[in-house]
Amino acid sequence: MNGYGGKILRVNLTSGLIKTEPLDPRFAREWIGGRGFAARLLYDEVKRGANPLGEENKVIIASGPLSGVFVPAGAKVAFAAKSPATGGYGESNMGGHFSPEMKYAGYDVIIIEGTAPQPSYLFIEDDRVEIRSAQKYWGKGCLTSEKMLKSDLREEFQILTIGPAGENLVRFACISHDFGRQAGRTGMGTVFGSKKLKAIAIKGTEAIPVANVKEATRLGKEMFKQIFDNPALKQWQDYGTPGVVNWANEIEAFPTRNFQMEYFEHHKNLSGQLMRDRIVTSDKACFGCPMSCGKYSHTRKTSKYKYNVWVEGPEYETIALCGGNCALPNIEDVAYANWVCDELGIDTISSGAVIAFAMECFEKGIITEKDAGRKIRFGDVDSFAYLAKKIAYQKGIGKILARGTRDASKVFGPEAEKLAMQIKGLEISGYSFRNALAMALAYGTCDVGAHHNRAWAITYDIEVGRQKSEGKAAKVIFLQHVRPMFDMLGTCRLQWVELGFELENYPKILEAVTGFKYSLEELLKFSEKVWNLTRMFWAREIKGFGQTYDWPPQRFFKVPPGKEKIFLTREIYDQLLQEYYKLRGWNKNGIPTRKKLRELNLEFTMGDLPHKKIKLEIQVVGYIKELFPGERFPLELENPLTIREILKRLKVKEELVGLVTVNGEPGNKDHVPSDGDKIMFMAFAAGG
Amino acid sequence: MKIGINNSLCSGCRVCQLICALTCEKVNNPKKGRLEIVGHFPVPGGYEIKMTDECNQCGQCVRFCPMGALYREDEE
Ligand code: SF4
Ligand code: SF4
Ligand code: SF4
Repeated sequence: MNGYGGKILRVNLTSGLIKTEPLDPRFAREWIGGRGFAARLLYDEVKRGANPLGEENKVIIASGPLSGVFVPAGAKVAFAAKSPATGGYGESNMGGHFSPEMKYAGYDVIIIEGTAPQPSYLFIEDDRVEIRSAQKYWGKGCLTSEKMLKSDLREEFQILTIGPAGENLVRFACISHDFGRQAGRTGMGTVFGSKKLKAIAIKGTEAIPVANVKEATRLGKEMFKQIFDNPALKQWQDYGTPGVVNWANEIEAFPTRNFQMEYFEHHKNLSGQLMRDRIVTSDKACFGCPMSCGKYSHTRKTSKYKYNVWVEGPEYETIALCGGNCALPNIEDVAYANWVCDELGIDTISSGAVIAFAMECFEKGIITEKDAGRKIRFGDVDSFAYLAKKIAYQKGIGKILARGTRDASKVFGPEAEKLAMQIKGLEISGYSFRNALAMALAYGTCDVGAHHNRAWAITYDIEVGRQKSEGKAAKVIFLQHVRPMFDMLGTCRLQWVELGFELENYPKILEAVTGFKYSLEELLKFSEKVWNLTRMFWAREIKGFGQTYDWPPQRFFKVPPGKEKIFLTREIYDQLLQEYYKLRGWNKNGIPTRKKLRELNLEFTMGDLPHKKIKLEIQVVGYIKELFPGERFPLELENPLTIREILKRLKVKEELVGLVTVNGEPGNKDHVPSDGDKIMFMAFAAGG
Repeated sequence: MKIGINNSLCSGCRVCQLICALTCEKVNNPKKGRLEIVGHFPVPGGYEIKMTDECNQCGQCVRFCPMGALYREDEE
């Protein structure tokens, strides 16, 4: 199948059964790949109410049609599972070289099921797939075990590992790859750990079939040229994401001391420019990417800095959450904190947030020296490393903190709950938003919990005026549809975000690669479908799920010390949220309406809508009233039906009914009435 | 033309392998590229570029190397 590996690999760790299934072209056409495949398969395969850490949860690893082909940055893979961090839809996206390697081995999707009886790793070399013992690697750090596996197999294997944190079921454990790329968020490493899956090693040697090689190569070359000619490329290659540290401080959006403030006085010591001079030793790119935003760093032990480490990064998010948010005052400390997290296998974003939360709890006396086992201070890298290790090994206070801020704060009490900087159970990432209304909404409505880059809206706030709310809900929705498109294609989005790369490039090359014709609108419609599907996953899994889950913590509505005012208020946020729901075709509680689900061909999810009977009022006019139970009568439906289906249920031939109105407006027989609607049926010549 | 190598600039992106395989073998498969990229991680970091004997010095990889790690020696 052009553009695809062509197979789904299904591995059951409980039974040891390994199967391959052909990828259905119709499924591929509809769900494209990556995040699309992952979201749909997760919805179908993980049953309602599954325990995220139980045998019944699954990890779906999905590559996309542009991964591994000659396009800039065809490097991204999606990991999805029911999230142990949030209890809802869990997904994390990762670069590096794993996604292309899956395709060269012939797999678009790897589904991991069950739980291994003992620590295991999955070995894949083209058609040869084996579950092997990981006894030797169990307990080792992510980077150490990757190195060991590379020496034991061969350097060219692409490897995923988890660290002690994943093994010990820390809820924000990550999957690590390529010595510094991670699927960080929503606890995907935790799910690996619960399955006793330490690692996956993969190598593929086959070519990816391409529908029109000549055209795909021509378009690919054109896309590379566009990037080479872009004046912003150099800056990006030099500084990567840390290039925005100074800007985030200038616009006062930099998480500082557990989001108490939005400007960090030492930020100049954390900037991308300074980092390049002080610690960066080389550039590191994901597969096929000309932008090489990865920075490989080495910090040396000196009189001033205590630690000697090699680490990929720190990236902006790590600098924001471990730097500003924990108040670490220089890039060397942040690089060390980064290395500690990477080796232990915890997400640097959630870790920075959880540790900052603990630091503030300590400052406010909510946890004491006795609870923590030592003094915990903002700005102290040793406090950071101490807590990170306690968390990863579930020791002492780490046992509580390993649950993430939402659940840890419940243990510490109501004062602590105010300090938990999370939405839907996922810690807020690197952009504060008291003065950025679109960004606030983007975090609130994000499909995995508070993650910035599912819709990075803050530049729009700056562009149109941060206090303004007009147009922001629509913009957030647009961004929330562009991002999944990249994730479905299996490419990086930063070429578009950072270099202003034309979106129109993608349907063209997708057609040359797969032979499937898509328009950009169609691709974005598929994104909308994925967005609604994941929303339904939340509605299905969490009882009472609705708009209360879309609100940021109280702290964001309060003026921080030293400032006079902020733009975000409860009233404004409420308005934005309702406007957003309306534009999305969701009800006031933020649940997709049946109409929307039908429009998107998501009927299969309707049974999972929060259960409520639909009460209708029926009126019949003209001679046909003898055919009905009465002239006026109430009708209760368990599930929504079309008018046609309602007539059938009432055993009235639809041809006999001439006109239908719904709440006084003419309606057709395919309409699905909602609760409370008044339906009138008329004979063809009523009264005549 | 003679191709020069500067390992310290290499980002490990493998664009060179991809374009080489497409140009010389007409397949989308970097493993068929006539050069190898070997990583040295976690310590000390960085990549090593190895041309194989099959390389015909056509220069396609040089045109698409985004980091200048491959270059034409006659231009240096
Ligand atoms: S821009 Fe950065 S994250 Fe995206 S593919 Fe390139 S190196 Fe990877
Ligand atoms: S110069 Fe050698 S390695 Fe480069 S593209 Fe040509 S044949 Fe391949
Ligand atoms: S030589 Fe150039 S194209 Fe090849 S991997 Fe290194 S940076 Fe990328």
